[in-house]
Amino acid sequence: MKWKQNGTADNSRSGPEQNRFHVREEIESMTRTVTLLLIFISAGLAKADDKIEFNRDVRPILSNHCFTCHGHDSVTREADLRLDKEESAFGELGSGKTAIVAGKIDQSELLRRVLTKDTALQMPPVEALKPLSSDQITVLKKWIEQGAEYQPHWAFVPPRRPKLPTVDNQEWSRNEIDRFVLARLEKEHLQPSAEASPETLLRRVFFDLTGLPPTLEDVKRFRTDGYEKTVDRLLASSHFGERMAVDWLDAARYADTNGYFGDTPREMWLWRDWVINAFNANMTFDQFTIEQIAGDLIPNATVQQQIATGFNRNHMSNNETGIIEEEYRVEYVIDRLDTTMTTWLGLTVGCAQCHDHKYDPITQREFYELFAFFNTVQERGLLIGNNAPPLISVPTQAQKTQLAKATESRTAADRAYEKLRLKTAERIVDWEQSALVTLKPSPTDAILLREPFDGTLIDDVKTTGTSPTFKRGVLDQAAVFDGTQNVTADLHQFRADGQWTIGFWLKPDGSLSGILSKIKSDDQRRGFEVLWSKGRLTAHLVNRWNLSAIEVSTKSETSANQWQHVVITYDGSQKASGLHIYIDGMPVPLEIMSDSLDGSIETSKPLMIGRRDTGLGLYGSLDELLIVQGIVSEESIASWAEGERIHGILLKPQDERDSVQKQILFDHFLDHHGSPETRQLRDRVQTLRNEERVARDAIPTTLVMAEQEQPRKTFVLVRGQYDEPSGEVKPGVPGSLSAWSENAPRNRLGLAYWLVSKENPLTARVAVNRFWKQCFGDGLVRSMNNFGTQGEIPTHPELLDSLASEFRDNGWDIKELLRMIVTSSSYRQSSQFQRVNGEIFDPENRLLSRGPNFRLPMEMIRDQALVASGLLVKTIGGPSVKPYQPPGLWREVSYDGEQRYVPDTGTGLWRRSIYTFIKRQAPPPALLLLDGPTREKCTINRAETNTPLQALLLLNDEIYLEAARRLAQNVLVEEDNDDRRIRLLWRKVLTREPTPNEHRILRGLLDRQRTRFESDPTAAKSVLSVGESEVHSHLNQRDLAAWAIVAHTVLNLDEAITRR
Amino acid sequence: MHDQWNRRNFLQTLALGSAGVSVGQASLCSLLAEEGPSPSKTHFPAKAKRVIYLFMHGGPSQLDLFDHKPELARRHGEELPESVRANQRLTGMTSGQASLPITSSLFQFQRHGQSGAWISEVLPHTAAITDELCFIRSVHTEAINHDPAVTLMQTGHQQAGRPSFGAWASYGLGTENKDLPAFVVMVSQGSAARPADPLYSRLWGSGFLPSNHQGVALRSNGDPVLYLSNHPGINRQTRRDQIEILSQLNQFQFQQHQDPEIATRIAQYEKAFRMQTSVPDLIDLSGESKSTFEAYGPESRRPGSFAANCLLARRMAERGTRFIQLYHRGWDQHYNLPSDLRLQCRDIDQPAAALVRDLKQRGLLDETLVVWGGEFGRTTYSQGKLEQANYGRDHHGGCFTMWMAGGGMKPGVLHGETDEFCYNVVRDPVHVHDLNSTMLHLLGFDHKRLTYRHQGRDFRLTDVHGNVINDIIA
Repeated sequence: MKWKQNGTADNSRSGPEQNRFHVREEIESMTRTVTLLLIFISAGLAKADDKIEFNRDVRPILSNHCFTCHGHDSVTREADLRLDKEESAFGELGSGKTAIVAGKIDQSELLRRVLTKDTALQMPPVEALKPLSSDQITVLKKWIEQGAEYQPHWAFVPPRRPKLPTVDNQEWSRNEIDRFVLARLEKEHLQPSAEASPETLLRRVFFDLTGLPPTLEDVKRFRTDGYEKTVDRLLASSHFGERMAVDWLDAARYADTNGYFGDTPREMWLWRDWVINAFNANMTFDQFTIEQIAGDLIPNATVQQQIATGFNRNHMSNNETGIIEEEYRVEYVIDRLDTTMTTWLGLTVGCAQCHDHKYDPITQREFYELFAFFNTVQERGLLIGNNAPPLISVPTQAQKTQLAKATESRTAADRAYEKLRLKTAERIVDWEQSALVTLKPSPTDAILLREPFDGTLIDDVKTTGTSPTFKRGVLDQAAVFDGTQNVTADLHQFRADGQWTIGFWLKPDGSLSGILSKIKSDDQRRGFEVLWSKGRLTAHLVNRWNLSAIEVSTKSETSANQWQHVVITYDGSQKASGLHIYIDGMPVPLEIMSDSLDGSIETSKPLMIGRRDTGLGLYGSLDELLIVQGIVSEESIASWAEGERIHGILLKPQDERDSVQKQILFDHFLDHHGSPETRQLRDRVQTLRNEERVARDAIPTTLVMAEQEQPRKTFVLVRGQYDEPSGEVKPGVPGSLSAWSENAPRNRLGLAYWLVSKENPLTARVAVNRFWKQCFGDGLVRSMNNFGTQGEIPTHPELLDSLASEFRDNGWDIKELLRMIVTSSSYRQSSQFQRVNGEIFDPENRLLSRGPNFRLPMEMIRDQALVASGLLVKTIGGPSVKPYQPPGLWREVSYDGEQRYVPDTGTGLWRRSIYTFIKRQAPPPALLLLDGPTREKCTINRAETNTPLQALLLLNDEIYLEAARRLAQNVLVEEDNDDRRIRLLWRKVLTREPTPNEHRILRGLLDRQRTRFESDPTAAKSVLSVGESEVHSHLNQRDLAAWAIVAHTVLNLDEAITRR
Repeated sequence: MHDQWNRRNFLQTLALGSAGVSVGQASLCSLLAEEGPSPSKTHFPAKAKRVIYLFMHGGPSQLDLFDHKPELARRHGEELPESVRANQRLTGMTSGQASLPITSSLFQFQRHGQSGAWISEVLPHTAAITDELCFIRSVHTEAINHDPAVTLMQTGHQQAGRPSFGAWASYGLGTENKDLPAFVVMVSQGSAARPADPLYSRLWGSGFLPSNHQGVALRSNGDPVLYLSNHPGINRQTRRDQIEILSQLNQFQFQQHQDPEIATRIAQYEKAFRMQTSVPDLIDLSGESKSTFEAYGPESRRPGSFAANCLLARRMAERGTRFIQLYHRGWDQHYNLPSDLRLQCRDIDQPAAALVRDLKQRGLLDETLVVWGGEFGRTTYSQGKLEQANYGRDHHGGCFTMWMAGGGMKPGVLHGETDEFCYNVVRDPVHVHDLNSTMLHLLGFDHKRLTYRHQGRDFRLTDVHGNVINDIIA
């Protein structure tokens, strides 16, 4: 296939992530003059007579318009010409011409072909849809005129510490960052913005370093501590790690489910805890890298180091039946590689899966050499169960002790019980003789049908086609169905207003089955039916399908391949509450799907046994079907199941009974005829066994990396197809980035060393850029996930290199880097926009002439409400929690609607948002609405949108209403007059004092809402009923409701959800 | 929710002002006045203004519905020849099956309409509108499992991470109605006994496009749009009061900070308030006539049914929703195909046909593209035991049938052909990318030029593939 790169007339300075939407070309062309002007100012580009710089001016043009056919990919290369390499560009071509002759525009074939009007010769070709603008052509012309000097791509040259620039303003700079920023501003004859107000600055640095707003207590401390000391305190806070982890979890695509198809839950939170702890401990970034990439390969790896490797197991796993395993195993490896490369190197290597990279120097072969590092995990493509191996189990010390104790107690009890058990067992034989007489029988009155399935069918039961076969069942023989039988009985006593009872033994083989039905197969589907699906029994009494019917299903699941006794009773009430199901003699809770029956369920159809009207059959066995007029009492139902089961076992010769049957018989005997001590001891053993199991199950596991003993071979996959391997490759790295140290092991550990080696040009820059973004809302390289040739050049190249080399050479110290950023004058600037001639100056803040501002991410918006209201539960770490979420979201999309979101009760509702359970198939809606990722793929940068659905979320989500009423309650308790309360409320959310105008406006709202709730106490009660946390009953409820509305309004303010 | 007023567009608008149209000192009023739909531009005049996509999730059997193969009756029970299968991969569910017996359809077929399309007895209403439909019997996909196949159909890529079709449409076209979402999704449960396969929110997600392009689920239980309704204790007057106050206080902020995002936020709270009436108005079917309900069938009165969703789709089309995505679940007939397929068809046949008729009657069909189909077809051979009156079919990506109507498609057309075994396409193959590029074409886009730059590459719905099928465009 031919790769065609499509794009608009290029604005070579626009961000790579920027909308390249062609239909907007007209608008773009109109805006270009203006934006280019701003951009030229902001990026310090070549003005008319300036010297053209290859990296800044020329490469973007060539990359976007030419490299597809004249670049790095050898397969699609045309005319054997590469414009990314000067040897080729300056060399003689097959045609005898030369693409670029330095200083000679008239001899450069490139220019001739760009300028020609002959469409057969014109470059780029018309069909590529990538014409050059006249500005771009001018740049190329000038560049050749000036000598066509090539430069290596900036990001592939290791950063070196640049000289500090000199600046005129000697007062402003607090540290090196400011020198670079100021020098850039002074070049444009600009001044930095004034410092932000203390409250703004405090909120800013609190959110950036801990993800939480300052409390009033924090404000007070800040007044005495001052800014620098506050920064120290925040860096030392254990909430620091939580804040840092959010971005890292996005990159690592952390989630709590497996993602594909069934999207079953997985246990992975130990890895999340590891990340939080690593940031809190200020683990150096090189160590942070090594442990996550290859913690398992570190000699004598600790448990924590193994947990760290979960980074590369956070990819999705597929449990869909029928997948081709290798296809998905390869997919997992690719995902690991893509994620690792994007996260550490800011490179998109994915393109090279199918062909040599078009823009960056990565060949397809090199892609598979990298692939080889991740290809030797002990894993398979198909997910079985919930957690895909390799796994490790990580008990806490307490859990270890608990389990050992439980095992010890259980063993001791077992020993004590064993003696008594043997004694009891001796007595069973004698009892068996008389037992058959004393056992309580199943119902004998008002029998409508009794089919024992004992070798033949009774006369009233007919079969057409294949008859069931018979095998030993619960009581004598049972009928075995394989889905193909047609067995019917003429029985018409099932009425909507009648009473009846049905009992049978069922041993399903696991497939969806129709057990009994009496349905007319038309649009109404009138009648009744019993189905078995995944351990759950469903009964339908239908007058009109979906419109007038009772549909119930057992809530709990029973296992397949086991005999279970089922009784269904119906009392003629036409209500779901009149229908009961008993399993093994015990009533079971039912889920009511429909309760609208208002008419007859009678049909002329016969009762089908082991089939659902025309289609679905029964896969499994059926025994002792009994249909009774009237309702059998609960007591009789209990003895019915027990009686038939024991009876059945007793009929079997002893040597044919299996261990389960022996146990059932023994328990029955013990319960009715055994000694109380033996019973007690047996129960105790049972209890202790359960305790032991609970103790074992409480130990969490986590997915880790582990190498195969016999490593899989890696091949180049033709066109990226899992089933088209060609040449074998060994683990290796792209030589064009930096060399492999020959001492390093050829495995992931070696790869990790390579990533953090001094020569690696990208790792430090990419990391620094990410931390910069955390504080400035955008990276110094705006294309956060692309440092390749298609990416943007840094707004402040020297600043980036200075920070990167400092970071790399001085111990990869994350906290130190952040401290430097947030204590700079650049960071402390006010974020107010400036207008020049009515226009916003430098809207994207590429010059950093003001402080950064952005809407808070979802996590911070919610966490802020929790802090301001005092609801936040500050526990660090642990399993994921399920806060409020609108009902039904999981059920609507999951397989057979079988998964349900059950919100936590208690503390799980008010934990920090980083602990919220993320289901990839249906992520928390607040996360999706507020630009959060689905965590299916590595995400480096969240978008920022501003939508009405966000407004609805913040206005109506339960948590904001609950937070508002709690906030109102606290304000009422803490202050004693309305004016002071308004001020307190304002400060609790926004840190600063309200202005008189703001105060007056809120006061108006309060008064109006008071009037409203005075006249509508029910509404007041309703407002205060939101959420689980308690309401102070001694407060005036109507007043509290009015205050809750005020608080809720403040939580919705732009100022509350924006960090300025 | 689509809205043009994300940050970048806002900046563009500001820049636009200074380039020609004078905005001067951008006051809040003038900024707010510009809120609302902006006329988006297509690459060429669009034939369709919107899409209603009736997605049959699970993979309906083309052999039992549209692609009639009378020859197979004679071969019923015979082994499928190796030469036909030609080493194409099978799913793990039947690759181990000892026998792959040819299974002819149990259903009766008749020819309908001018095109003489064969249609199964279980789709009588669809058969009656044959002259409106373009049947493509040669759609094919390389995916053989649900997750990748549906993801490919809806996002142009088998693996997660790309924007869905509706998101591209929203990105490209914006909205026609400033009070309703541009891209809406509705899910209905099928009547088949077999459990329905899962859906994933990525199927209507925005991928790497800004999240304002993600589909908005319109739900039949609880809030029709998440968080739409005020809490019971908050009446409309209180809510109005809150929004007024927010607007006033936010304006102070705007005056101080001059941040255009604040102006947008004010506008979005107003829009949210309007949605609180526009959405209930949309889903309130009380004004629909008795004859309309009769046309869509008895189920149309039951919220959440496919029929009710079809009726809602028409109402959205009237109100200018760009991309209306319906999912009807339960089409995965591995076993008990005869009974389950009947149930599924009964769910969708009458409502889908009624929708096409209704749109036509209201003069909307010309500008509305209706698409019907699933993520793949089903095998010629039976999965599991082949019985007298019962069989099942496994997934088959090699060929399947979809139909399209209105929106610039040729009506009454048959496109593409499969071999006598209904296993391979023999004429006019239509890959999923071809289908998607054709749909984009009808919406006025060159699929190669509707791109978005992400990670240094210009991505598009059709990846690096896709050919527009000009033969079926009117």
